[in-house]
Amino acid sequence: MENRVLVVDDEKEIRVFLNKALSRFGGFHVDLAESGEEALKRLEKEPFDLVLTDLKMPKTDGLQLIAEIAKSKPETLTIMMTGHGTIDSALEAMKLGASDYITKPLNLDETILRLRKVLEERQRFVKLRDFADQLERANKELRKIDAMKSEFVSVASHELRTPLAAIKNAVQLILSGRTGEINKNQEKFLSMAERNINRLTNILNDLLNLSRIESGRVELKFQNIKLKGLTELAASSLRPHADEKSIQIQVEIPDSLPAVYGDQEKIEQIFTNLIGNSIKFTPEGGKILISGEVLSHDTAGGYGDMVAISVKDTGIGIPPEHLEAIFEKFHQVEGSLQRSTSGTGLGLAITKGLVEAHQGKIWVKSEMGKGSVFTFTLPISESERRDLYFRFTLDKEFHRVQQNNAPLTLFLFQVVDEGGEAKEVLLNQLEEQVQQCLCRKADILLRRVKEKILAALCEANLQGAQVIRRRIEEGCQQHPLESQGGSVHVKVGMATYPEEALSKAELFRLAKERLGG
Amino acid sequence: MNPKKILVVDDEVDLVETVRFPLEMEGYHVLVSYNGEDALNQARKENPDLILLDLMLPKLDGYKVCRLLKFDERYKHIPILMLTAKIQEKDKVLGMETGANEYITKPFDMDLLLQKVKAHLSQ
Repeated sequence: MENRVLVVDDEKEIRVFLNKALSRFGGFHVDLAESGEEALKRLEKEPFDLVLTDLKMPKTDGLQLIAEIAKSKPETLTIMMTGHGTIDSALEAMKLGASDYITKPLNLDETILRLRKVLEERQRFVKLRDFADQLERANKELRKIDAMKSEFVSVASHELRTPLAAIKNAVQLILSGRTGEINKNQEKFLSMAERNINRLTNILNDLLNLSRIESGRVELKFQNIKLKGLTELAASSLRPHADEKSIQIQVEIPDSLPAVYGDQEKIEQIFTNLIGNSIKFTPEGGKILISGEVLSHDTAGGYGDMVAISVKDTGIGIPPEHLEAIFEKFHQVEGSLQRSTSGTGLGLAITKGLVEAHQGKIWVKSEMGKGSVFTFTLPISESERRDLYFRFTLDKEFHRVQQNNAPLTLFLFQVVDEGGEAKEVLLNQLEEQVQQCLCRKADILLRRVKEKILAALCEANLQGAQVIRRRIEEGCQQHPLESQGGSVHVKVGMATYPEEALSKAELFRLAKERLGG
Repeated sequence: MNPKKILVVDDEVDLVETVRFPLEMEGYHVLVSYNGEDALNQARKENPDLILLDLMLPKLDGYKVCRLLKFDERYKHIPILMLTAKIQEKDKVLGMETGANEYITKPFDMDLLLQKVKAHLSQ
């Protein structure tokens, strides 16, 4: 389709020239207007792709025309024609919305080129915009369908539950003997029916759970959680099942594992699902080991952000071709144990969803016939991250100074507040003072633990450390910490490696011992 | 001694039957209602010893029936066990807020239900 161009110029010669040139050589459909007013009238009546306008015209000039078009016909492109030396007007025109400008006297080739370029650009833009619109619409549609799906699952689960209840009641009535005596075979098959009703109920529950997780409607009640206790709890609730197959469940989560930030109930569900799975796929006499550690530097992308928990079993293992798909809905490995009597095929999908809702990741390693290891990560609680960083860096420092036989001093500060009211505030003040006293050293490590502050200082020998200690004590005297009533003083404990102690444990012990001094 | 009176409310006739039967076998006198309005009327007229109440009911839903009874001095002593196919946490909370004594999700275990009925009646 040829592009429609409106040429606006008060000089007749130019109109005639452009009319001929643009239609003959440019292939445009050209219309003419001799003033801004006429141009606006034409634009009201029919659409143009582009308006090529002169700058200086009586009454409505080019700038006004461009501004007007930009306002009322934003789809129409404008190009300004200016004489030499009126570059300011050209820039003004661009600011008002013109796509380009050309200078008079006009060069025919250049004019056509500029027009084409501007029009092509517009075409590309329109195409892109249409594409974006389409995507937006499709996305909207998908969101609607997704919401419908969730709604459907929720309604379906509810609607199925009621008839299921009647069936279950009826079967249980007969099974219980209330309706009369039943024989062995009747009991066997009714029990089978009952088992499968329960299974169907589990599937419904899982479906509903998963749909909520998938649509992001799962609500997490975040808090700091110690994993050791929670894991023991989950393990002991599953031990009866494990005992049936003489499977040993061992929890080896260290006390020192930092607390995670998560939803207690959901994390318990993660454990229950994974341990339950392991029991299911582990032959008699097997073993399940649950362990946890802080993710090491390079794998976590930032030290001390996540803990990794592993559930390792001596089960039948997962064929390599299934490893990828195992977390998908309804994915079950063919020929897996007990397919007919248990498992909804949703457990791992739910587990993955729950882990991901905690910003964690889950993965599996497996060897056929030997067993599988499921590992998932959870974020470490904010308050422990700092602590952890301290410990990690201190370990590193200690290792370093041990190797080079260089000194490392550990300070332990404690606020003794007889009033006992404003510990947190006092600790803040103390931390600041400590930092000021030590600020000439670049690599101080600071950690707050309960009512104490720990600081480690590298490359300060015993004498230097004692000087620093005196300075802090004096500093505390001169700028007393402000407590609300009561009297406050600061205790400082200190130990330096290698002059005094030989191991890190010794270092801590010594610093602690001297806390009163 | 007169047998204890239990009002069973559910719009699913089959479900009502499967609950009524074992209750009657246990020796209870069972009244039945298939919608909320009728349930409320019967409860007020018959003053049952316990009510098994479905949540989703025609005319007047279970929440409302429960609230109307529990906020009435004359009837608030009647134990109400909610039977429902809704299993979401928020529904449970809502159910408890209306003053229901128990919240039992469908499908339920028959023996468990009978135990709970017995426990509430002996209180």
